[in-house]
Amino acid sequence: MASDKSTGWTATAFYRWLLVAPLAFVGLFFLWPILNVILRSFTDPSLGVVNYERVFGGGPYLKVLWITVETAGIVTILCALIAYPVAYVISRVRGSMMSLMMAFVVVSLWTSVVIRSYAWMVVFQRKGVLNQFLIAADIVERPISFLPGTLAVNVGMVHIMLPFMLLPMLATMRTIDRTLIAAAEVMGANPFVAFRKVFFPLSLPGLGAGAALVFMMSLGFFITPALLGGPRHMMAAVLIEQQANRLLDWGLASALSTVLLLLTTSIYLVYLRVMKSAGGGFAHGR
Amino acid sequence: MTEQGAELKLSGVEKRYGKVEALRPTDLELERGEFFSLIGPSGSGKTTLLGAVAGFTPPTRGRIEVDGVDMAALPPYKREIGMVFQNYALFPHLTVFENIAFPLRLRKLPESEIRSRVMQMLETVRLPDVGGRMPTQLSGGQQQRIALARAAVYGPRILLMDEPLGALDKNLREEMQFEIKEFHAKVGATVLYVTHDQDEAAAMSDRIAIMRQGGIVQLGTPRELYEHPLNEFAACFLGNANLLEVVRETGRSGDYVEVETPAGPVRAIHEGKDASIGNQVLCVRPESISIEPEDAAIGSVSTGANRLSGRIADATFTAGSFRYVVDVEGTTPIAVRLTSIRQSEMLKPGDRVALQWTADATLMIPKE
Ligand SMILES: Nc1ncnc2c1ncn2[C@@H]1O[C@H](COP(=O)(O)OP(=O)(O)OP(=O)(O)O)[C@@H](O)[C@H]1O
Ligand SMILES: [Mg+2]
Repeated sequence: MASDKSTGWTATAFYRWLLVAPLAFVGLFFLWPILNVILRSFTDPSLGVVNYERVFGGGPYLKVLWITVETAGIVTILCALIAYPVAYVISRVRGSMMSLMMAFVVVSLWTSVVIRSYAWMVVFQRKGVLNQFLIAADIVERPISFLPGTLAVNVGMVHIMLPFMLLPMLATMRTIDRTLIAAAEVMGANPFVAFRKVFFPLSLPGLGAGAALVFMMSLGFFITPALLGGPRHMMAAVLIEQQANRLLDWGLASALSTVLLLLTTSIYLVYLRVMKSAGGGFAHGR
Repeated sequence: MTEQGAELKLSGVEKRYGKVEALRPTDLELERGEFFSLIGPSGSGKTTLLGAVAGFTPPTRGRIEVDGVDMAALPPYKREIGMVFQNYALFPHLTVFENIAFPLRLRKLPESEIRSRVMQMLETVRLPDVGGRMPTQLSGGQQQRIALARAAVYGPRILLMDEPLGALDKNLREEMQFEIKEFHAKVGATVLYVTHDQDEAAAMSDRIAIMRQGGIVQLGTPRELYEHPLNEFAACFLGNANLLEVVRETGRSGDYVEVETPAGPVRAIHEGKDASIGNQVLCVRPESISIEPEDAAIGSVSTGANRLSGRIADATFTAGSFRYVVDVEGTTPIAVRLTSIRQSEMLKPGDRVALQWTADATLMIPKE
């Protein structure tokens, strides 16, 4: 802070100036391209809503959008179902055991998404681990063609999205005071009822945050569906890439992007809304 | 609501965590409707004992009977006991009304009865209008009262409270002590109360148990504990105590014993105890001692009284009492506490003074 005095600057003015660089950066490399994309969806190849008519006019594009939403939904639900009990267990243990379990979660974030998606290709391919197992166990006679396909995309995406569900859940669950559960039990609630009436409602903010995060990320997810889904399970981001990079149909790509952006934004707004009304009393309590 | 409290009886209740003996085999009997406090230093097993009664910490051994029925094997939710926690443990996602209604809904009472019981409870704790608020919108003292209401609304015949006032500031604590007493009189449950605070325990309780290292050191009414502490620890824990070493016993007559101390001869009541082995100390409460300037006191020596002279080291005035610390040759400084003060007792550090107290106020107790 000594430098503040020598230059005659107050700290706030200094910090305000510091903000200019990142703001300019965000404006230039983030907001401007988005505006550009939105603009382009109405002007390329000609002024009007042609691109949107193509997207919503039935046919393959609308179907891809639907598959995208559906996949995002399924992945979110599966992640929630898997992550909840895991987060519950991690939030209950203490000390070094907790650190160890957290490490497992965080380590998976260190491995690149590309590598993890390839790992699933190894599992799902014709002569992969899964097919070998199924044949050895006499469940099927011939290898099943999982790749590219819906199952592979869902499994791969659940794996990659899991930490994003788990971490907000864990953050919320760790703030839940255990004496609340004890209090419920003395008042006559068996452990199951205490969980349902006290722990679960208090854990909902974490579940909501995780679900919103995973759903929004899944909507625009590219690598895993591109590697594991192919044309059989086409998702919006893959389609957009195809239109923009291979077919050079920038107008359609822009319209699809805009729809995706709108979807994500509205999910986020709904999430904020729900959190605000649900959290009326206790959101500001912790 | 004014159901009678239950009888609570613990026999040989013990809790071990591996080698740690959190609670040594303990016997304890609470009478119907009694207000009973556990006090003791940190780690002395107060919470462990309460947890055993509530069912959170199943005892390693022993019986816990409520009106003659053994509960040791029952989980907390089957015990029909009420409990108030130090941090209140109000559910942050429920309104005050729903918090109090929680145990009633679990018991599937009809909606109309739930309403009337909750309302009645809110009246009892004198907060009839806060039902619609969230717990975080209440002050600490208000939350405390809601916690009381919730613990008692389903008519448990035993109420446990683990340092319920620990989180409040001093003035509010004193107000809430009164409220809790009043509440106890209204609901009539047997209360087992845990506190760190000796004054709080003395002010509220019918009986008190002083705990130490997982065991009960002494049990009795506040007055018994104050007037007849069993040992040095109990003497110092409930109230303050001046302790005088015993060099040897020099004689006995009737109830009294003559003792030589490093500060001079002192007369005490012996209550049948023997000081000759050198395992006793003398205990004098600061409140029992009178103080006078040394020169003025010469004429007023009352026979049979103990008398020491010394020099005032420190004089303090706190709300409601005067406190002197007096250096006396041969012993540790002696504290004197006066609740009202005469002109002759207005003294300042450095003044030479005479201390007097009766032999009846001098107890002989086992040394640590
Ligand atoms: N789960 C546990 N595992 C091991 N030791 C424990 C456990 N719970 C309590 N103890 C030990 O048992 C002893 C008694 O603890 P307890 O919580 O009953 O003390 P307390 O009198 O309530 O203390 P405080 O006034 O600090 O609340 C302590 O030495 C404590 O370390
Ligand atoms: Mg405790």
